[in-house]
Amino acid sequence: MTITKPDSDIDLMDLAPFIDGTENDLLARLRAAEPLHWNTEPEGPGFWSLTRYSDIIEVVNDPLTFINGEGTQILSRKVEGGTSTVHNTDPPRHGKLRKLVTPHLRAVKISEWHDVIAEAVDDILDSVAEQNEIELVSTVSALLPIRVLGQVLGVPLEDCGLLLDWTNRVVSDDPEFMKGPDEKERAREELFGYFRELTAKRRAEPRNDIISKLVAAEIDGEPLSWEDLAAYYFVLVGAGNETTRNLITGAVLAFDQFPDQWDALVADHSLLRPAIEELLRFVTPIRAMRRTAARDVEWQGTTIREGDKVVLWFQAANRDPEIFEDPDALRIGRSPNDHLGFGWGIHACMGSHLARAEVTTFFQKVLERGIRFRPLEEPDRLHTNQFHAFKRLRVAVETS
Amino acid sequence: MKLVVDWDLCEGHGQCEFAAPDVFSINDNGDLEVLEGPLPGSELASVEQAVRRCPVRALKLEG
Repeated sequence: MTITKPDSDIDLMDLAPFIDGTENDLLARLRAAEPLHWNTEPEGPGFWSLTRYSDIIEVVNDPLTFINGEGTQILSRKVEGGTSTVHNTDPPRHGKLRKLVTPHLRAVKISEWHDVIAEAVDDILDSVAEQNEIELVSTVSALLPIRVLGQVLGVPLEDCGLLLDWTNRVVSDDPEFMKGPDEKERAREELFGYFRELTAKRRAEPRNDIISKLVAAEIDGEPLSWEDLAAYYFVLVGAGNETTRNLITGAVLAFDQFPDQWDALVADHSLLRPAIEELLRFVTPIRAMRRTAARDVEWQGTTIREGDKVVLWFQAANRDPEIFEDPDALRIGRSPNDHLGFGWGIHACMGSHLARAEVTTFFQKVLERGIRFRPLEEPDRLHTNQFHAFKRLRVAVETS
Repeated sequence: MKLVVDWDLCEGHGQCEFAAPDVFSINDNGDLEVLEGPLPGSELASVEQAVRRCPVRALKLEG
């Protein structure tokens, strides 16, 4: 707690702007007028918000002062329970945990999954190609990442639907997915029960998947405990599911807002690589991540106290006019494009290469098939300030 | 131009490998391996991109 808290009428716990899609105006006001902003919480200690690109880079580059070990959600909790996952762990353990998986998610390794990704995209596009109108999230966006990620982890294709249902219920706070107060706990138990069985199978008969790698892995000569394994699976499933799907839906909306950019891509498919980076900037599927101050820090004339929560608004940084020219415009050829769509620093996204491969393959095939998705109405957004997430979007499917 | 890696910072994020796969690779232990010898001029643009996109700022171009 600090003594001087700046006044501001901006409340980032009010979800209304995030639901109606006006949050960028709010974040721009903060970035311009109050780059260090104190926000109260109805049921919590409150938090600081940082919205400038340079400030956020400074914080993520100092992971011993601004730690992840107290949680990365804006709310004071760890979504996966008491166990610490790679993203809620600080150095030196963090780097050791991370290195167990990063070699298997590297750009070159991901290319081995190309056929799995291409097959998933083809199945999904086949299923919608004959329809005039679809609900994009449930028929396209949500299906691709879970199907790919599931198989990369080691989940058989036929079980990937189960994974999707569990993660919807465990990760989300949206009332729509919560059928009762114990729903989150029940979904967590089901998910972990499933993975316990799968872990035993992969231990007995290893395959070329991440679960097999993790059950065989050691840190300082010790294998990972069941709790460590479960936490790792959980973060991989949650992170891989809740992000890529929203990049796909967000991309369809962005191209609808800037149709000339889609036309440019149709004319020249080689723009796809920079276009994906620009979509990561423009959409920013993870709006924010939280750190906690490990000591008192003097920051622009204010003291951030030890234990204070500090929320890094990547979405605001990605539209910082100090860094990006004409930041509110989608420009698929933008270069350089040092966006924070995958975060930054030691906790930067581990699945970035997989996400890129999925979304690139998806739009490559959409372009090859001459498909254009045209939104028919405003999207139904998830009730959360931390993820740029969509529940529903009705689109017309046009084929040229 | 000379490429310098700060091995204390590098954690094998692999963004460099994505930007310049002929120069950088992450091995199966998660460690970075860099092309030996002088940088080919044709790689300069992609190596510059790799330097910019390293999330832990482990790469530098000098000279």
